Amino acid sequence: MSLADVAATVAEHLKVHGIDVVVVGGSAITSHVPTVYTSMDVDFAITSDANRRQITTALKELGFEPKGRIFVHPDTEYTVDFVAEPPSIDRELVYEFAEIQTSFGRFRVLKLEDAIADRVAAFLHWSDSEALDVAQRSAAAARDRLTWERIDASLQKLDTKLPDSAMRMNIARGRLRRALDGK
Amino acid sequence: MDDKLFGSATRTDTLIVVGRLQRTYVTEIAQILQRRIIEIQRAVASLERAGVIVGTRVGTTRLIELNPLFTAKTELYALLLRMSEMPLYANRWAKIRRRPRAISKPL
Repeated sequence: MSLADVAATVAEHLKVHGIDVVVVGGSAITSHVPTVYTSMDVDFAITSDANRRQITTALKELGFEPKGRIFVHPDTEYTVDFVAEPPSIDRELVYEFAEIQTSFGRFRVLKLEDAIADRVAAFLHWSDSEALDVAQRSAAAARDRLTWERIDASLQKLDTKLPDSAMRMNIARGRLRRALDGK
Repeated sequence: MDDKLFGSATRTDTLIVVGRLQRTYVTEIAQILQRRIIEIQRAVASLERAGVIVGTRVGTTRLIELNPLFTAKTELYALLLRMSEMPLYANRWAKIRRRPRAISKPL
């Protein structure tokens, strides 16, 4: 099973229990461009009322067991986690998502441009160059289905009030531009 | 650009790593630059004497960063960040993770 298959299986099952989720973080990148970045955990944000006990009960029906804060399954190497925050990019809440269809069902996921902006946020706030590299390679891999306007709109959600963050944003913008231009 | 801009190639490279990573330590700088630790220790010591960088001990690790009180810190950071994107350096950062990792998640 791929990460997308696991995400779809879990999301569809949780939906039966009235729990709505969205794939976020690195797993959102893997969902859109699996060749660029391999996340081994599926990060879900919850968009409906649900507590940890309800989620645990539902996931146990699928064979997942809690292990600390994550859930593990004997038949898959992917782990499942539920982040504390609602779906957001750098504290800016996100309400529109993409949907991915798999043979195991469908699941909601951050739009690719938002997932890229989320990686850029890690570069802005943590100087995480690995995240910037993933953002750049994701944009390059998906340049036939992305536009600069869409990426730019997502980047506008990021906080660049601090001078150091603004400088890093300039670096990130340059890299993403070049990625879309195929350079 | 002259790689001896900041006195020597090792000082320049060290300063670029400190600027790019914001907080780092001697062993990490040595690994990234593939230089001997003693070389980096000397470069760090001389940059500290110049007041450009500062070190803070956290546990057993001495973290190094640009001196926030250095007069031209903002301008220096902008220059170092720009230089860190030059082809000579750009590929060195691609695998360096700095974002937090939640407890109990696999590395």
